[in-house]
This record gives sequence, structure tokens and C-alpha cells, in this order.
Amino acid sequence: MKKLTAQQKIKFVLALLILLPICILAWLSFQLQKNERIVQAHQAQNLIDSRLKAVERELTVYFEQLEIQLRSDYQTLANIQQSKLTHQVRNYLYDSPLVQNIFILADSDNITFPPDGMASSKEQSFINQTKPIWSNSELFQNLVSQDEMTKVQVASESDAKLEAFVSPVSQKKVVASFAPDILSSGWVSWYSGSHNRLLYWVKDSTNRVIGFDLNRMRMLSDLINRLPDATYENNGLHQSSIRLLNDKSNTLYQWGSYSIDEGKQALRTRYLSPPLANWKIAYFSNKSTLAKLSWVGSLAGLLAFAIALIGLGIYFYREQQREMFQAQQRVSFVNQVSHELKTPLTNIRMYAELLTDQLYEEDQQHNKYLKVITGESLRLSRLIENVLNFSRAQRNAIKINKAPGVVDECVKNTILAFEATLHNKGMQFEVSYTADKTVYFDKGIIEQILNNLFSNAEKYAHEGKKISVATQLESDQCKITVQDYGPGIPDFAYNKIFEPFYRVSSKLTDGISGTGIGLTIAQQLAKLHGGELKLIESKVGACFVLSIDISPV
Amino acid sequence: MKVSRFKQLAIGVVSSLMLIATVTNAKVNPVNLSVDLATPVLEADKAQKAFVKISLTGIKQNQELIKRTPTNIAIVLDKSGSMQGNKIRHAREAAIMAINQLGPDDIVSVVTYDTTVSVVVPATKVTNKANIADMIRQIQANGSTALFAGVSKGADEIRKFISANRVNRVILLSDGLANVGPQSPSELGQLGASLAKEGISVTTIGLGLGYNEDLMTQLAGFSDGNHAFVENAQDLAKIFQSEFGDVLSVIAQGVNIEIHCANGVRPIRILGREGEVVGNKVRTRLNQLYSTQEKYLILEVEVPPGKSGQQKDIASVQVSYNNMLNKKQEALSGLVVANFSKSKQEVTKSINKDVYEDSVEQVANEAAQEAIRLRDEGNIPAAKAALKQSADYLAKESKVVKSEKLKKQQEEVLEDAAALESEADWNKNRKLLKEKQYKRAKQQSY
Repeated sequence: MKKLTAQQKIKFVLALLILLPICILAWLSFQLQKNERIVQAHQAQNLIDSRLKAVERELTVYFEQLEIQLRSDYQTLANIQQSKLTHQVRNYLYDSPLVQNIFILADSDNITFPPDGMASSKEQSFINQTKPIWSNSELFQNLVSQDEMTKVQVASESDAKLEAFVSPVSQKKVVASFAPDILSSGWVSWYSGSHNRLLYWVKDSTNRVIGFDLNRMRMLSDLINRLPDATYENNGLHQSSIRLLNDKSNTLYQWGSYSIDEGKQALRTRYLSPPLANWKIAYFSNKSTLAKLSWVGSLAGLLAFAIALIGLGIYFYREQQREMFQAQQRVSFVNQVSHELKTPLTNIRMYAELLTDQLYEEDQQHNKYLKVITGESLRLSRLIENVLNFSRAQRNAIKINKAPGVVDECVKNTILAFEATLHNKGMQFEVSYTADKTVYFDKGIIEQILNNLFSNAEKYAHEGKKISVATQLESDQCKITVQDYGPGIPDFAYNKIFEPFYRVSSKLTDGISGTGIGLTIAQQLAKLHGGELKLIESKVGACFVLSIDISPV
Repeated sequence: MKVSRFKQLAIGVVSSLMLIATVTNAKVNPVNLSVDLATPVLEADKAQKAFVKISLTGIKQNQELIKRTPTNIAIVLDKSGSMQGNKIRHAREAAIMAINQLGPDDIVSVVTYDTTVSVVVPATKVTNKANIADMIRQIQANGSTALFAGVSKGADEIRKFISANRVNRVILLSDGLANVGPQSPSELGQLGASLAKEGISVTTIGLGLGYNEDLMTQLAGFSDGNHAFVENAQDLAKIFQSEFGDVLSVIAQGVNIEIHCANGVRPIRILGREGEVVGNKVRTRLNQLYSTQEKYLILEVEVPPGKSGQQKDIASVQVSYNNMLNKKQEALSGLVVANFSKSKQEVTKSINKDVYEDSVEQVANEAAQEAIRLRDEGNIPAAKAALKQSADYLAKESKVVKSEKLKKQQEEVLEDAAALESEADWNKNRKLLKEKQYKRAKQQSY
């Protein structure tokens, strides 16, 4: 796999930083949305159910009131003398908007109205049509003991389909106070032609049964009038509609502001309770509107969040790019400067050395000055070399040029260059040389590493007064130990001192100038030389061990 | 001076007497009942059919002295999609114009229907006409035709102020086929019959060529309202004007007519109107009677043979109604007797021309209705034959009583027979025929 550059890494991390929260947020909001929709759907279902229940209740109340009225009509009709019965019942029918036919049974088989042989053609056809009902004495059985509206299955040999229901006891109690002798009552739903018709019957203790045949259109009209109209204020239906459907699923009445498309499925359907047991009410609405709206909201929120994050990401990326660019500029500036400084510095050192050679022995004072100039210029060279090496190392531009030589010679030369400065600070070297064989190594690099180590010791450990250096040869490795006797390096900084620009901050080091790249360079160079530079524990001061590969290339 | 004082006194007495006279005059029965046989002398020794005309006439009232009957009207407007454009615009204008004729004692409501029903103006006293007009102007057309529910809600608005002392009427306008809820003529007829029992009548106005004229005439017929066919929407205003004129001239309501046939006379049918025949009793009702207008019904009876020179009661009639002038329930009764004679000449001579004409007119009208039924079955020849027969009948009978009126009707029937022919114009012609037959049967004033 191709290694990613720092730039690509930053881009990748930034993209991750932006995408990750957006994805998490999107997922969370999706979950929330889903839950909310479930809750909403549930609430909506409950609302619809309660609406439909209220409608059903309204219709049930109609039938309850109707039953009470018909029972009281029954009471009136039951009290009529036999001789006036026919006339009075006809008058009742003539004036009643809701009841269009009546039959009266004295007992199970004996019909007292319409009068036998004296019935009008309308009465006669009613009697013929309803024969299966009134001739079926089972239908009007005393069912007082039953608590709920009960459906009675009736076997009928004719084509008239019948369904009978007995009114609940609760209503009977209401009516019992003024109609004490009513034993039972109920509904019969029957078919004449293709129409569903309703018949209400009342039976009293003398086994007399009166059946009221309702004008079904009038009944429907009354039911419609109990239901709200289309105006929103009257029905509380916003963007929804309710339909009343008959047994053939034909719309009888509709209210609400939502216009129902052809073939649209109802969100909820509820069958009505008897006697309209095969009628139903259906709720229609546009399901998606609610959910859609909230989606748009959360999507907008998410989008705004994403835009903010991306904006922030771009801002940080550009800032970082700018800083990187500036740093690069700085590094290249330092590089240029360092490079430019090298030549004049070399000249200064060369001429200073030349002057030293030409001075007379006795001119001690001048000699001393010149040594300082040479020493300082050497130091400056080392610093510049460090800086240049560092930037080369960054560009992986350092090359190792191994050449045969003696390590001890190289160490001696380096020490020589330092002796003057160390002497000024009252320090001295304590050396043990054991690497006196000719091996292959890069002299410049060893010098550079030692320079860095010595200059650190000079800077931070001059109190220790001495620096111990020991060389050692091991098969194809050469070890050089540099030990000072200064304050040493605190434990927490052991691993960090090799990091670029890291400087241990303490009272001791404060006020001492330094770039913080010396050890970094030293370690990098050691690694390039197939070895390593380690800080090893010692009782006093700091002890660095440099090991390098000395095998021929 | 003394003389003049006496004169003044005399004038005072006379004028106060006159005032009393006018007051008593106002209390005079506003309705005249007459019961007549078309043939008061019947052929002897022969069972035969006879026509009895029971006629109620509203007497012209002194408009300045009498406060007219307050109304309770529900205007039920079709605003289905087909009403879009001119139709709904004219309907709105006609409704507003009609309401402008009403006064603060009147009650009006406006209901519209398409797929659903809206109570645009709930039943209210007509005090703020501008407000009502504003609400009517907002009506826009769209959707299907829930006619049944529209009439139901209209009737429910009427019920809020229903009173025997008001003219309770639904005025229904429709231009299309009912397609939401009950939609058959018989179902709407059932509703109409039920409303009539409460004293609510439904006037139906069919607009254009798209409505169901059977449904509209049944609804109006069973509830004793009027029916009109309006081909062009711009004529709506005129029809509303006529309808309101009719409504505002109601002088009696809740008219119950009971006919008791005597001496073995058997009622066969009532011509033109709905009624209940049980044994020898016939019962029917008119929802309202209008000032200066005659409403009648013809009862066809079968009379058993009578001996020459004999006089027999044919039928007695009891009429009860609510007098709108004094808000009292009043009753009228009448009796019709027949004489029997062997002389055909005497029978012909005795014919009551007006009653005879009306009877023949109604019989021919029934035949014309039968012709439409035959035409609906696609049997054009039979329908034409029925009308031809009817025309022949009218021609024969017009000669018997030398009637110009019947002759004119015969010509009309012949024209109608031609109208049966055209397939293209049948939809329109059928509506025209239905309207004409309806008006003839119910003696509609416009």
C-alpha cells in the first residue's frame, strides 16, 4: 500500500471528522423520526378510532331514542280498544313520518292488524312480505335474561334474509318505568327486493307483538342529520373525511374536507353496532402529509449541520495549509541563510587558523583571541551543519559515505576542536580509546554526532567538570560512550529528548540557548549509519551510547 | 250645527259598522270546497264509472288588510362540478334575488351539496340580507352530487323553526344525477312522502338536461311541492321569482282530505295525486293552498246500478286545514249525490262541463304518463299508439261537452306524440313532458 503523505492524512482525517458526526446524526435522526412516526401513527390511529367511535355512538343514540319513542308509541297503540284499533293504527301511520307499516299479533299466529280481508293493497303486500318474520314465533322469544344486544340466527325458508337483534337490558330499564308490561323488544333486519329494511318489535306480557316497519329513507335522512356537515368548524376534520357506507359498501353520506379519490382505501373502517350491523363508517385521509413535513424539517437541520461542519473543516484545512506553507517558507529561508553563511564562516575559520600559525609564540594574547574566533566559528559551523542536516533529513537527502579509517583518530580530532571551549568553562575530557583499528565509517557523520553530544554536555553539564568518552569495537559495531556528570535528564523526558525541538524545561536549562534539534539529528544520523544512539541510565549525569555499523559497504 | 253633529255621529256609527264588517269578512273561510260529479245524472240499472272532483279554491284576500304567511325556506343548491361557470353564477344570483323578497319575519337557510353537504346559511331570520348574500356569493362549484343528503340537511334546517303557521319549504336545485347516497326516484319519493307528513314540501328545479326528471318529480310530487324544468341558467331567476310568489301566497296548510264513498260506491283511483285507498275510504293531503288558485283532485269511482229516478249519496268529503290567516284549524265538508235516469239525453244534458273537462284532462294526463313509460322501454310505436288513443279520447270527449280546452289538449297530445319520435331531442322532450304532466296533475300555478 502506498504510504499516505501528511497532506492526504489531514484531508482524510478532516473528511472523517465531518462525515462521522453527520452520519451519526443522520442515523439518530432517522431512528428518532422512525420512532416518532410510529408514535404519531399510533396517536393518529387512536384519534381516528375515537372519532369513529363518537360517530357510532351518535348513531347508536339515535336508535336508543328511536326505541324509546317507538315503545311509547307501542304503549299508545296497545291501549286502543279493539273496535277502534284498525282506524287508529291507520291514523297513526298516516301521520307518522318514520313508520310506514305496522303489524300487530295478538299471539303467535293471530294477526289483528292489518285486519284480515279488509287490508288495503299496501297493507296486504306488507303482510305478504313480512310473513317469514311474524309467523316465526321464535323471533319474539322472551330474551330478557340476555345482557347484551344479541344476534338471533333465524332459519327462513323464504328468500327473505333475516337478522334479528334484541335490545340491551340497559335500555329496557330506562323504558321500564313508563312501560312496565313490555317483556322484550328488538330489531329485525330484513330484505325486501334488494333493500335492507328495519323492523322494530315490542312484545308485552300478554304475548302481543307490535312490529314497526321503518321508512328506510326517512331513517337514513335522520341519521344523516345527526352527522356533521362538510364545514370544518362543524366536524373538526382537517384534511380528512368520514364516509357512511351501507351493506353494499355504497356511500350514503360523507363529510369532512378531504376529497377522496376513486378507489382510495380507507385508513380505518368500523362496523356499526346492531341494528345497522352491516353498515360501516370509514375514515379517509392523506396518510403521508404529517410524516413528510417532519422529514423536511429534520433533513434541513441535518443539512445545516453538515454545511456548518464542512465549513469548519474547510476553515481548519486552509488554516493548516497556511501554517504548513509558512513553516515551509521559514525552513527554506533558514536553509538558504544557513547555506549562505557556510562559505564566509569557512573563510573566517581558515584565515583565523592561518593567522594563528603565523603568530609568534610570545604573542599569547593574540593567540588566545584567535583561538576564540576559531572555536566560535567552529561552533557556528556545527550549528549550521545541524540545521542543514535536519532539513536534509526531512527530505531524506543525507547520504552515508563510508571510508576506511580509525574511529579513535576521528574522536580525537573532535575532542581537539572542543578542548579550547571546554577549557574556558573549566571542563576537561577523560578519554579511553580502544578502537584503534581501521574500520569503515563516515567520519563526517561521527563527528557531527559527537559534536552534538559534546556541545550538549558543554551547555548543560559544565558543573560536572568533565566528560568521559570511551570507544569500543565489537565485531562489526563500534560503540562510543559519552558520559557527563551534570544534573542528568529527568525520567519523564527520557523518551522525548530525541524528538525534534523538544527541550527539557527546568531552572537549569532556562536561559540557555538551543535549537532542540541536536539530539534528533544525532539519532537520525546514527540510524542512517546502521546503528543507534541511546540514552542509558547512569548514577550521575547523562550517559549516551552511540553504536554504528563499521562493516565495509 | 246640530244636524251636522248628528251626521257626524251617523257617519261614525256607519264607519264603525263597516269596520266590523271587514273584520268579520276577514274571518270568512278563505277556502272554498266544492264536490261535484262530472255526470250528476247517471244511467239507471247499470254499474258504471264516474268521476268525482274535489276542488279547493283559495279566495282572493285583501292584501292590505292581511299579513301574509311568514315563510321558513331552505334553499338547497347543487354545487357539483357540472354547475361550474354560468350555472352556479345564475343560481347564486337567483337565490340572492329571491331572498331579497323576504322580510324580517321570514326564515331562510341555504344548504349546498356536492360530494358533501354544507350548511352555508343556517336557518336565520331574514334581517341581514347583505350578510346572507355575501355568504351565498362565496359558493363555488366542484365535486359529485349528494342530493339526498342535501335535501335531508335542508329539511333539518327547516325543522329548527318548523311551525304550522309558516310555509315550510325546501327549494331544491339540481343539474345532475344524484350519485352519492340514495339516487332512485322511489327512494327520493319515500323521503318526500315522509317530509310531507311533517308539513315540509320540496320544490324541485331541474336545471339543464343532465338531471333525473323522474326523481325530481317524485320528490316534489310526494311532498306536494312544485316542479320546474329550466333549460337555461339565466331563466333561474324567473323560476325562483314564481316559486317565491307561490310560497308567499299560501293561505292554508296541512290540508287533509277524507273521502267516504257511500252506498256501495267503490273508489278506483285518484288521478294525478298520491292517496291512500282503504276499502271505501280515500285519504290524501295537500301541503298548502294558495290564494286565488284552485287545487283539485279527481277520484274515479265505480257506482253500483241504481234505479231510475233514484237519488243516491255518492261520497261525502271532509276537509280540515290550518287557516294561515287566523292560525286556526278549520274544517269543511261536502256531499255529492247522483240521480239516476233511463234517458241518455238527460244524462248528457246534465253534464257538469267544468268537472267533466277536468276529469278528462286528468285521465288523458295519466295516459300521457303511461306513454312516457312505454317510450322508456324503447317501445316507441306503443307509446305513440297510447298517445294517439289519448288524443282520440280527448277528441271524442271534447265533442261531448263542446270543449275548446280539451281540443287544445288533444292538439298538444298529438304534438307530444311527434316529440316521442326524435331520439336526439328525447332527453329534453322528456323533461318538458314530465314538467307539463306534473303541472297539469298538481295544478301548479307557474
